[in-house]
Amino acid sequence: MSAGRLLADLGQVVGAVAHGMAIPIVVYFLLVNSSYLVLILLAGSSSVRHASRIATGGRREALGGRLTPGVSVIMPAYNEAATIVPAVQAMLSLRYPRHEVVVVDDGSKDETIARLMEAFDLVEVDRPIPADVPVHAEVRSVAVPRDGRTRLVVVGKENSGKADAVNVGINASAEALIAIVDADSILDPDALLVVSQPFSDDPVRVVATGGMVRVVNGCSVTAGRVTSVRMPTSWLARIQVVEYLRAYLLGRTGWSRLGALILISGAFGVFRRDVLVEVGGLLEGSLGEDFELVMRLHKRLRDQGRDYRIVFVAEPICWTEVPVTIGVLHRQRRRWHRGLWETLWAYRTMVGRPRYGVVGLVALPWHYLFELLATVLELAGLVIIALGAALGVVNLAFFWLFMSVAYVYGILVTLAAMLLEEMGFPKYRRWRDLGAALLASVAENIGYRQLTAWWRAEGWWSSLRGRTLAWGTMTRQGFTSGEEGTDA
Amino acid sequence: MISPSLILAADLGLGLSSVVMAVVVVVVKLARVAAQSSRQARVAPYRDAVLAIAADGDEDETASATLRGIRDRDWRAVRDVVVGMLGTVRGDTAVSLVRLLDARGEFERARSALRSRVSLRRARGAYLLGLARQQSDVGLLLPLLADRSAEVRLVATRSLGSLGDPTAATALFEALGPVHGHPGIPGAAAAEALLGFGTGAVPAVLAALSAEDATQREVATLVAAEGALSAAAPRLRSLLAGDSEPEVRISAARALGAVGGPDDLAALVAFTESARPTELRRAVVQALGELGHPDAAPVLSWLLSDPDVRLAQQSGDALVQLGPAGVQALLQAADGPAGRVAAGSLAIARLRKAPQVASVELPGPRGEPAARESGRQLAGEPGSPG
Repeated sequence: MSAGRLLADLGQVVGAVAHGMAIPIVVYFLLVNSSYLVLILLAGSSSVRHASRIATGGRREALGGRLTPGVSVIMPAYNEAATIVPAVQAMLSLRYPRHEVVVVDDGSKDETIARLMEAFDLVEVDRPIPADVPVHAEVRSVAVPRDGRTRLVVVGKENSGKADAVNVGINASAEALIAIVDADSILDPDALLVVSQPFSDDPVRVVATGGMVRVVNGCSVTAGRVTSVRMPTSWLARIQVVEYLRAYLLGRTGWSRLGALILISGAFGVFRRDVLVEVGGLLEGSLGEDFELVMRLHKRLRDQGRDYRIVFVAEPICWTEVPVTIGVLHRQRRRWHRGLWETLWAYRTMVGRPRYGVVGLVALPWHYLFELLATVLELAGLVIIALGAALGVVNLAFFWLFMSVAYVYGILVTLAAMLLEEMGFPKYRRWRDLGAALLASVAENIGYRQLTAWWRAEGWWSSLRGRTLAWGTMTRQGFTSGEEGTDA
Repeated sequence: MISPSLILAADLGLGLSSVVMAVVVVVVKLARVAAQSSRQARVAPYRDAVLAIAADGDEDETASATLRGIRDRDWRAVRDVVVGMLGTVRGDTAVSLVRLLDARGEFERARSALRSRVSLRRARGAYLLGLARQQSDVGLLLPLLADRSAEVRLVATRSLGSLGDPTAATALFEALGPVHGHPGIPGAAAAEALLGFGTGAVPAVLAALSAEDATQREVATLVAAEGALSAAAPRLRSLLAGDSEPEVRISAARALGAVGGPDDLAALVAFTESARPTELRRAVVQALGELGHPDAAPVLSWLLSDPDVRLAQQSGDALVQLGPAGVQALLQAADGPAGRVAAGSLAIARLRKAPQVASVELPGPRGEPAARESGRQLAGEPGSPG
């Protein structure tokens, strides 16, 4: 067979596939974006409702309450020497009637522990750590401040990963509620009050809560507090700002409104200690340990027939640094998508089963169809366009027009999220920040979206092939102090 | 195949919608900024008057007179500042602010709002009446404990606690039960409110300790513990011994630690046996520490070797609370199989400067590096703060 004939045959196949897939793909993306829009509108009503009830919400009473449940803030840390001291200071100074901070150093190779020892005048104590949840790594040291008053415990252990570090923290902690906070996260002063409020308001049913996370890049940070909120100067970070905004309104607040929140970010979540102990803490070795934990809670509590709630608080209270280099972003997205796939697959038996309520009937199928598959379908569409154009069998202008339906609808969804941000908890005060956010919502669709789709597909593929995926290193830039915020 | 014109129309439609949405975002921001500026501008001329009330309670009522006379549209902005301040002040300042709000008709509006169909208005009305602390409003707030909105029930509970009228105690206990098929008011919120009632609520609390509803019994034990209600001790002993609900027994154990006496020692010790539920054993050990009776030392010493490390540590900490007898027991245990737990409790007590260990010579360095460090520093060797 001649090469020309082969190309002609290939062209026919590609043309047939392109035309056959056209309608299903456009319908699929319309469904995806319409479901996003519905979730965002649900989230918006939660957000506005929450904002209007802050005054009567009982925050002041909780602060002075004798029966407000105590919180143990667990901070797993690995090579965080650059930011660990202000981060711990900020955690210790959170406004809350009774909280302790438990830092678990996961075998850092830098000076994380040494800096803590010096800054907080720690002394080691030979105290065995309880074994409420199973852990694998050996604990090397337990240290507390010499003053005997500061409620800080620093545990040093051999390196075994974040999940095991958190489990060690659970064992070393003493309070009824456990807050799991990334060592590089920055919490607003009232964050603990805000995110633990549902436990006081509905103590029997609420087992876990999460708070809204925003991007700290570009903001000014003084003494571990965000003092001025600004957009980052890097477009990569700016795009992630609008992405976070959309994801948290959509993926957390909207689902929480439907009673089907299946992910509480590892950056900041609060859990009832007894429930965490009951399920055995975090799963070691999972790439999406935060997602896996919430799924395990749902499964266990539904299997037991318990009346419970997992709640998302629609108030931005936690700030986190996002990658500003392609390499780090690449690793992060690959890991996230692999974690998504592995957890969804691990809990596949819940899909479509009425005993798991909205989680099994709606949230999980939705994540399979619209979070997992979207990546593959988007890439397939792009590959077919490229092939078809190369073979001269598709009208390129038409197909770009075709794909742009999905992209423009995506922009509309992002803008809806921005509108709800303005109506609920606006954080960016400057007009230029709004302008940058509007531009970022468009720029996201030019290159960034396609690139992250590819990386996510890579993560999924590596899991299917059974390849080991390392966590990689998130290069911290440290935070910007003073008035002029730059990219963190 | 979809026609290109249809795709183009969809693109244009979505594009136009996006442009409109972007414009709406800008308009909403503009409106918000303008409203904020307008509010600030309206408050500015009266800020000194508000601060004067906050500073000295406005003895000559000059500032209050100024604020009573301002235009309604300005008052709406000033009102939020005044209400916000009222939540954070006490004494004469609070009285002045309440008088001002009353003169402006805010409390009458709040009372009317309690009948509103909108739950947010009912909640705000109840909240404001709680800040006003006028006993005459108790009767208006009580029906809200059965409101169809959980939020309103909760705000009403807190407001009743602020008003401090013990006649509401029984109603609060009853409101713990389910309302419209949903959980009643949260136990901790009810307990906080009941604690605000003072001794007047004692009869209701004692009665609730024998209530059929387990939540009522549990809340009553919380109030008995926090309110140091010694009259509750006999009933707490019964609850610890035989209540059908594990949570109530745990709560009763904690309460006995707070209000019990030497007579309760035997009752508590019986629940330290390894066959008892873990959480109950832990609560009992803490209660023994709270009681502080030296006769608890033998059982707590024995528990230092318990396989439940958390319980063992709590036993060590409880021994410190017993005073010399407990510290002596820890020192003796330091050389035995429970030595690490005992030394850890002594070390923590010394760091906390617990008076019980101030004059005690702690054991020397042990085998492990951490223990060497802590032992050296805690024993007052060079490098130690003493």
